[in-house]
Amino acid sequence: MDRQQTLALLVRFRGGDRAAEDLLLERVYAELHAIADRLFRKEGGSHTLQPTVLVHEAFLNLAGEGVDWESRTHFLCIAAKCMRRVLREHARARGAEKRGGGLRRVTLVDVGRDTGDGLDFDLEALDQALEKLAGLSERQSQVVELRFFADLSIEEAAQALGVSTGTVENDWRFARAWLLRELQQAG
Amino acid sequence: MSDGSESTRRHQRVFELFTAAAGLGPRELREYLERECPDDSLRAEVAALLSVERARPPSGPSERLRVSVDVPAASAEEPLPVRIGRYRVLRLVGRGGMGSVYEGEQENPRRRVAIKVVNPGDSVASFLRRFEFEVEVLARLNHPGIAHIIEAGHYDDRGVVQPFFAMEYVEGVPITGYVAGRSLDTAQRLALFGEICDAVHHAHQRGVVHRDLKPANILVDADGHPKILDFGIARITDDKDETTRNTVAGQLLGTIAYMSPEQATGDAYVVDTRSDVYSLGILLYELLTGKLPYEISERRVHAALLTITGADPKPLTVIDPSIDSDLSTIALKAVEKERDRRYPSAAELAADVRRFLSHEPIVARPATTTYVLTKFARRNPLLVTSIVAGVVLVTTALVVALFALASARAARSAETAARARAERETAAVSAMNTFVLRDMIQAVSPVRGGRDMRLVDMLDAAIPRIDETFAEQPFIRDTVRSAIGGTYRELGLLKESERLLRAALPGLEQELGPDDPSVLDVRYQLMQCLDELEDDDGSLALAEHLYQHHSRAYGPRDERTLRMRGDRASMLVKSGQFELGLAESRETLEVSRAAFGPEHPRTSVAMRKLSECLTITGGFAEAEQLIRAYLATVEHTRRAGDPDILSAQALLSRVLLDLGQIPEAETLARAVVDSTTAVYGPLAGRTMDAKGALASLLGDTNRGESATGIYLELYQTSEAMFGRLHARSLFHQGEYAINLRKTGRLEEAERVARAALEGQIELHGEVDPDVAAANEVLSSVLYDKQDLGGADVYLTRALSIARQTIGTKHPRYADMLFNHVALLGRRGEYERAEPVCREMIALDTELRGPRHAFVAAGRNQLAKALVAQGCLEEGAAEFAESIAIHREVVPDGRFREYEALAQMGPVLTTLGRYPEAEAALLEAWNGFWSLNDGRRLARFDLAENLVALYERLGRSAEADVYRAYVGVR
Repeated sequence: MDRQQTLALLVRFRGGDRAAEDLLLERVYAELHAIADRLFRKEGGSHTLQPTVLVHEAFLNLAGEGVDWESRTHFLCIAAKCMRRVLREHARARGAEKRGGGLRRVTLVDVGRDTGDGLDFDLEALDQALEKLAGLSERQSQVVELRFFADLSIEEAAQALGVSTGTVENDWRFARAWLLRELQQAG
Repeated sequence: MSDGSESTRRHQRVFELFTAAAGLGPRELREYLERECPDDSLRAEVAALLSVERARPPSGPSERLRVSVDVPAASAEEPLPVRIGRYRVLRLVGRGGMGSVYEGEQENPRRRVAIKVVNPGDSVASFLRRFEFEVEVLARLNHPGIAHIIEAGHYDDRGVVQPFFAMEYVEGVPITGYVAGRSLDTAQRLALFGEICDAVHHAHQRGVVHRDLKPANILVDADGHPKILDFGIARITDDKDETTRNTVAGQLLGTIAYMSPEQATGDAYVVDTRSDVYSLGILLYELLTGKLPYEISERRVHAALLTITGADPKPLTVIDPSIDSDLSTIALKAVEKERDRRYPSAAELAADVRRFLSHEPIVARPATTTYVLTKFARRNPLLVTSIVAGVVLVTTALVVALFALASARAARSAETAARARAERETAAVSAMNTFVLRDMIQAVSPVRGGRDMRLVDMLDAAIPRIDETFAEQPFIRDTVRSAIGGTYRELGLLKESERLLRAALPGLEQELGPDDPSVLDVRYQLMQCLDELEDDDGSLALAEHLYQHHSRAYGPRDERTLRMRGDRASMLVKSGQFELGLAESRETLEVSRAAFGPEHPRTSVAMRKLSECLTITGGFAEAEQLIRAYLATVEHTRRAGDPDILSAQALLSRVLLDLGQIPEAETLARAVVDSTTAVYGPLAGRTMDAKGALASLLGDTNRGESATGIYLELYQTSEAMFGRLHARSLFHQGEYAINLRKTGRLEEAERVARAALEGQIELHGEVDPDVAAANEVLSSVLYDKQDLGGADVYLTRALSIARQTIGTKHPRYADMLFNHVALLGRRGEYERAEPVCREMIALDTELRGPRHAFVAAGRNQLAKALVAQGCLEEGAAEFAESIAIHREVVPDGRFREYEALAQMGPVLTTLGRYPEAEAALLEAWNGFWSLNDGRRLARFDLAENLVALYERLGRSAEADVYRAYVGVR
């Protein structure tokens, strides 16, 4: 919870410390879970959340501002994984209840020019499609995860994955098209 | 890339076609696919993907996922279960994070029960485990102040098996409501509180920690006795089994306002009974004042946690002056952030409360001033060491300096007027103290919103205020400047230090005269600063000045003079005047020994200085001997952790490394890191230097990977302390880049090196010596990436910047030429390398004279370039010249000479000058052996070259002798 602790963990993680990675995952997961819970507990009807906004809130809470961009990228990588897990668990828990509540739909929207014609698909379907993609190309699925769930830029994703920006750009273009098609086919 | 399975191969192919087809028009696309992709289904897939993209092109960074959430209508509308086990459910009492509580009724015997079940939808395994555990815990408790358990079981919740337990139903009101409603007086409140403590203590003795003590969990029943509910998140402290640690680490349970700092930081492992004591303390605080010590809003959990772990509670007497200060002391002791400072048990807290009630003296004592100061440090964890060290340093330096000056002047001048002035200045010392305390410490006080302010910011902020505050007292102003200048140097912020020291000098000199000891001291500090900045000429000039002055003023055998002489000798060696420097250093040691005896501190220092010089000139064995002797001498007289001892140990570590005694060198380097960390704190300049030395040791012994973490830490620490765009951070970033390069992590190295270069440019502009250095680093990374053109571009840029900034007559420029020579050599561009070599030799000759070690090194390089171009005779001659210079100027430690001999040997062999070749190779061989320098022996392939020579000469017996050493390290 202490920002310095988080930073220290990030440093250890960057140094290749697996235990630090686990602790970070745990910490980030708990924080995202808590933030998401607060949103989900709000009563009455339907509202929306943006995973990337949650991730950035978690980042500010746990690491604070003034963190160097490399640490930030590492944090966001971990947060992307956690965010996906939080959403997946909520989708499953609520789905299992079959009482209508919970989060179901995912919309891909252009926030810059919100035209209201976002692409809609099922959250679980997105998760499964990403799993399938991971089976075909681990890296492409990682690129999507980083972009969708933690809002990493092409450059940041390239840094995180240790590949060139050109590679990420190609991966992203392709994986995005692949996913949209996959989800359209799934209905 | 691919695991080779059919589907991944196909995916990869689709990906390639898709990517290659980007930007093609419809017809070109069709033609392209028909040409490249005979497989219909593959072609169809690529076309489909492309049409998906055309329909919804990615819209750049503003494209986001948005998840819509449907929250069910109020959960209270859920139907109540009719029965749970054998109990009839009457109503829902409450719903918490981990369970729901129903009021139920048992028929036989007829009684009311509280039934706790796990919330539907939360039935994950960890919750269940915790739930079942709770039952076991509760069963061990039997106290009138604790709600007791009736039964644990399972029931069928709409087809799902759910565990539940039934406990005594307590009809009562939360304690805070009870107390307020009945307007109990202080004694009654305290009596009630004592009962609660007793109940908690009962649980503690059975190894149960509540972990969630708060008014909502403490009800007062109709008879006026408290009962504690909900031991739901307790854990058994005497059970080390993992299952008892069932609170997910980092997950926050309980209610934040009552949570102890250790619990708030999420460390479930360290929470013990004293955490409950803390919660009881908060409760006591609330019972007495009606307020919580901290204002906490649950909306911002993180901010609340910072408050709990960071802020100090107000004394109760501040909130309500009618409260007895002893009670305030008791409550504050219970809510101490460090649990060791709290009451060790709930029973002892109760005992002190009862002592108060019976007017006996209480055990708790208010916190002392020293403790308050350490608490300031704790609140600012990152700053702790640097701030405290910095403030202490600054304060001490200022006070000492000012007192010394003022009293010296008072003593010197008998006239009343001068004495009055001296007294005014003595009075100014206390003004100074206020300045330090008010302006500097408070600048970083969290109360002023300065939590994230760094020491550097503090100093930077203080400097303009020096001018304002002491505008009328230029003498004080300059004294403060010099003191802060000294602090900057301690922190390793050398340029800032140099600036301030230089600014302070004229005023002090004018006021005190050039020969005043204080002025000389500032000069001395400036000399050390320039030395650390590697401004060899500047520091040498100052050293000369200081030495001459002292020699005149005090005579040649005076302790102060000898110190200056030793420093001057070191500066001479550092600026390349090995022979003169070494001789002077030896002489200083001799004179010191004769004047003061072998154990005198002056002699020890002279010994250390000489060994420093020897490490530069290569006299490692002698240096080792001297440092060990030095350490043996000072061991008795000084404390461990003394800065001189630490620097001697650091030096010894470096020498041992050069002597190839790696394990001992490493042990020592690590010990120095530990000691500096312990003595100066983890963020002090010295500690960082020690870590840097350890890292470079690891790097030099081919364990750069182990050093990466240290470099990264140094970089991050300085970034946290000084900010990204700070010379020191950028320096460490550069070092980190260099390490990444050396460990083969070239992509990262390039990224970091580019970032460092960008940072340097941002900080200094394009044309700056540090920018030149950053270009150099990037160049070396690119070279390793086989991007030779790129490497050349950046090194050429570095050289061009250097010409515009430091000029073509600067030693650093000579260093760059040296690197350029190496790069060109490795590119095979010997023809280009040759003139650069000659420029370098000319420059070094001009800078240092023709018979100088650097010239010898340059001739060595030139020899290599000539040999590589096939000019063997000329090359051999340059080698010989280089060796001759070495013999002249480096009387001790002849390793450079042996290096040149080792390289000249094979050239002579090729030229057929066998006797000379044999002499050179054997001299190098014997030389390295005599220096005990196995590493260099291997590096120059000496054994291989000797074997080759003797095979040519047909002397196979000798060849066999050396063959046995081939490949030996």
